[in-house]
Amino acid sequence: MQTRESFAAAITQSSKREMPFLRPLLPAAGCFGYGEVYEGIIDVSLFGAVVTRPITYRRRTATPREGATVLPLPAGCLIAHSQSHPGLSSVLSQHRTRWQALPVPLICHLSATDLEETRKAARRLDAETAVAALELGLPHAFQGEDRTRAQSLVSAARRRFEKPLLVRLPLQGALDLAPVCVQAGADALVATAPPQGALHDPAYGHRIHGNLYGPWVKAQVLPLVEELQGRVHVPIVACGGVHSQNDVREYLAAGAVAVQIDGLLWRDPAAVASLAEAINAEWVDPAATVVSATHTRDMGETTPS
Amino acid sequence: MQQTMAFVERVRRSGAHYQQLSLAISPSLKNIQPGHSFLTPPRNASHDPYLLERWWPIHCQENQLVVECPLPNDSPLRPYEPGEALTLLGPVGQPLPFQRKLRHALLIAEDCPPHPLRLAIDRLLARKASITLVLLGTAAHYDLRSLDPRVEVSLGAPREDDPRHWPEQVLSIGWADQVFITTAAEGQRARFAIWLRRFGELRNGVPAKYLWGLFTPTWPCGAGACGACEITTADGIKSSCRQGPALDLTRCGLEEL
Repeated sequence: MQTRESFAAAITQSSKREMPFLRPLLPAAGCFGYGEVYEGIIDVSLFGAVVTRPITYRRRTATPREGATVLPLPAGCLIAHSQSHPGLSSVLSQHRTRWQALPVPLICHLSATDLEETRKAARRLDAETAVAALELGLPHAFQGEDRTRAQSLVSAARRRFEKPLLVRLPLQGALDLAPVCVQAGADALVATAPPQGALHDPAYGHRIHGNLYGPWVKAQVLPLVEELQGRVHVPIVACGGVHSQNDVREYLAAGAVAVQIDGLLWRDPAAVASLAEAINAEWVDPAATVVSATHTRDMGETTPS
Repeated sequence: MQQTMAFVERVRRSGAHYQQLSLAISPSLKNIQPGHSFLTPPRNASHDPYLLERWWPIHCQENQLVVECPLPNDSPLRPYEPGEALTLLGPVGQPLPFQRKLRHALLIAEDCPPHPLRLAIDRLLARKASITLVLLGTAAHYDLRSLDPRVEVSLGAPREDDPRHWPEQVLSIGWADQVFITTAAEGQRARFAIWLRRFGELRNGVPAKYLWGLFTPTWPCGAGACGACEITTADGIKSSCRQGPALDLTRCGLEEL
């Protein structure tokens, strides 16, 4: 369990540098743009790091039929994202300067879809000084039986990326995939990607598959965070359904080193700023520094395979 | 985009389904343009409904904004009351791209109230432009009493071969320097694909920057953070909340729908 005294957490990657979290809250991938969208509403220095929206190596243009859709749910929503991606080169040229000026570390979220693209993107991002760490997002469709593919993807990124590597697990299959990812070189795990669901879209008359958001997601992720503690010995970053200070406290009490915020960012960004201030006041020792031996929780090292 | 507080000054009924709220807004929001909208979190602690409510300004002056929103009997929330404080996220989106020499504007609302076009009417009349407002489908039920009498209103007259027909259709399209269409959010991309085809037939081709669709799907964030309203266009991927709502339909790659 985290305590105030032990908070300033770091994900340490032995060969190059460490990834410090001086504050426990982070925006989740896909909820904060590339770090620019809430300028003027949320001070990013309230976060431990900024996580970008998912990036793919190549540009991909969706057909109109693959366009994004949002369907409301009781106390939540389903979002089927557009399958369009601008590609890594475009994202870097557009955002690199802003990232270099960020007051907190930047974690690039890379969608791990294809082995070769993951390899190329990891190598490219490793050379970017503005990028402090990589969060590799495994495909939602991955289940326990996809362990070999998950291992290949994480290994591919690990071999080309010397900075700290986080792997975001899909909710289903997370327990099976976690040890494999750690063995393949993950320095930390993010638990988890939004759960997947499907709803009938009355407008187009077919079923829409997408990510589910809402406060009830926490009930699914919290026990998983606890269970992962016993299975792997790397830091766990919790992600899913945080809408209140108590949600953050529960995740930290369950052993998470940091907590990512998703849907609340969209619903009430000013509330996120207030929540971050309150949590920081409670958990962060203003005197703590990244390298302070007494306040840095060393999460140990992992050996890349 | 900013997050500011607003105060309800007055609540009035507008037709059978809507109420008008006069809001005292922050001075920092004084430069509201047609095309801008605001999002407000539902006033509940249970997170149900979860998604932000979207309001289109229908009048704006100094530090006062008038919006129209559904009456409480269409919503699970309690009615708004004068003096109530609200959170506003916005302005969301970009101003409608009116041509500098716009003289005749054709505004079309299909199966939805013409709220996204109301502020445009004010501003275009101030520029002495003539306006034809076409109300199709359920839009024809919109209460017209609060509209300026200088606006020429046409109600839909569907035909078997053209459910989107209205009287003097060819004439009003021929006169228009620019067209702005708002439709119901459901199936919006497919609707715009039909409009693009229809204008192509009626005009023998649609020039660039002439036919604009107001893309108004549900916006979970209004900031371009969630990627839930992205449209693929010839100019790249656009968020309808951040770079819209008005997008040139000839650039939107809707032909497959």
